[in-house]
Amino acid sequence: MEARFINMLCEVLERDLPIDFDDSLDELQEWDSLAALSLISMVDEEYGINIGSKDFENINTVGDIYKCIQTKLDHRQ
Amino acid sequence: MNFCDLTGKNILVTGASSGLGRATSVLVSKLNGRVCLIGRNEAALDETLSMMEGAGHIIISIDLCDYSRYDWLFGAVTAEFGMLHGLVHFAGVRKTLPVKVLKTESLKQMLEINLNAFLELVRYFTRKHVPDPEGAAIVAVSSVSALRGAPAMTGYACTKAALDGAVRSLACEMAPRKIRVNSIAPGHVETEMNVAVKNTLSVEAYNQIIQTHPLGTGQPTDVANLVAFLLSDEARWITGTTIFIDGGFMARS
Repeated sequence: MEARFINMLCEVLERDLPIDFDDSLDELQEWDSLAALSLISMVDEEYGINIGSKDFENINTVGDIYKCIQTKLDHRQ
Repeated sequence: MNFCDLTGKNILVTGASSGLGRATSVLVSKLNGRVCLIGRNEAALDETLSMMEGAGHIIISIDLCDYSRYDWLFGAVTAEFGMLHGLVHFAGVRKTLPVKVLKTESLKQMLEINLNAFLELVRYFTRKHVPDPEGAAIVAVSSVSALRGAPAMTGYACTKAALDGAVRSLACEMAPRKIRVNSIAPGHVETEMNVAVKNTLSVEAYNQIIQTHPLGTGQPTDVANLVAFLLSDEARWITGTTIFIDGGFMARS
């Protein structure tokens, strides 16, 4: 699941450098509103869950996105 | 006779299980029309039916992407209703996909229900002995997205622009048979689906949507009123056009 998520993020960002869970989104050069939208769409397609802008109010790092997905998946079960 | 009276008219409504399809079905019933409610979710169609007035409405639960069932569908509807007077295609899929993640499979899914299903429905609806030779109306549901660009709407916009294009030619082809073909293009309407989206948005993000509509966002009944008018004889001279119902969204530059 972690590897799948990181692959997805790499695809969205078209990033050559490795991505770490501690990386701040603000510091990722490739992260912008369209990247966020692309990730939201991919997560919806892959996991069938919706991340909204409300969720992004509490998201600062790559790991926060992963935790958000994980929490939503857990609540669904 | 009251304005927009639909007495004696038999109308097919796809996507009748919620939102705009539900509101239109309810209004058509209040205007004395008879409705064939089409959708996938039978329980939700039952709920729509429970909100309707009058008698004789029917429910057909079907996957509209299974075109092989259309022959059966139209056979069943005409056996029950006789000749038909209206077709409204609300069923559709909207996916918000930046082009980077717009894969052909997602585009295909949207095209299948938004465009191909509509054209296939029209093909069966316009067969000999199906529409009333005295006149019938077809309404496709487009979107402001067909004409106004927005990030991540490429696929959806393609399907809706294609619908509008189809409507123009269909109108010319069907005019000699007194079948009018139009599309409506709603802006942001507070359907169940959009309310769910609203709940995932920050106040700021949602206010941005509202601000693009000078009259604010719409209600399903606003759209239903327009569709009922297009289905009625009062719209007898309207064909081949797209009518925006968007609270002024398109009026802004």
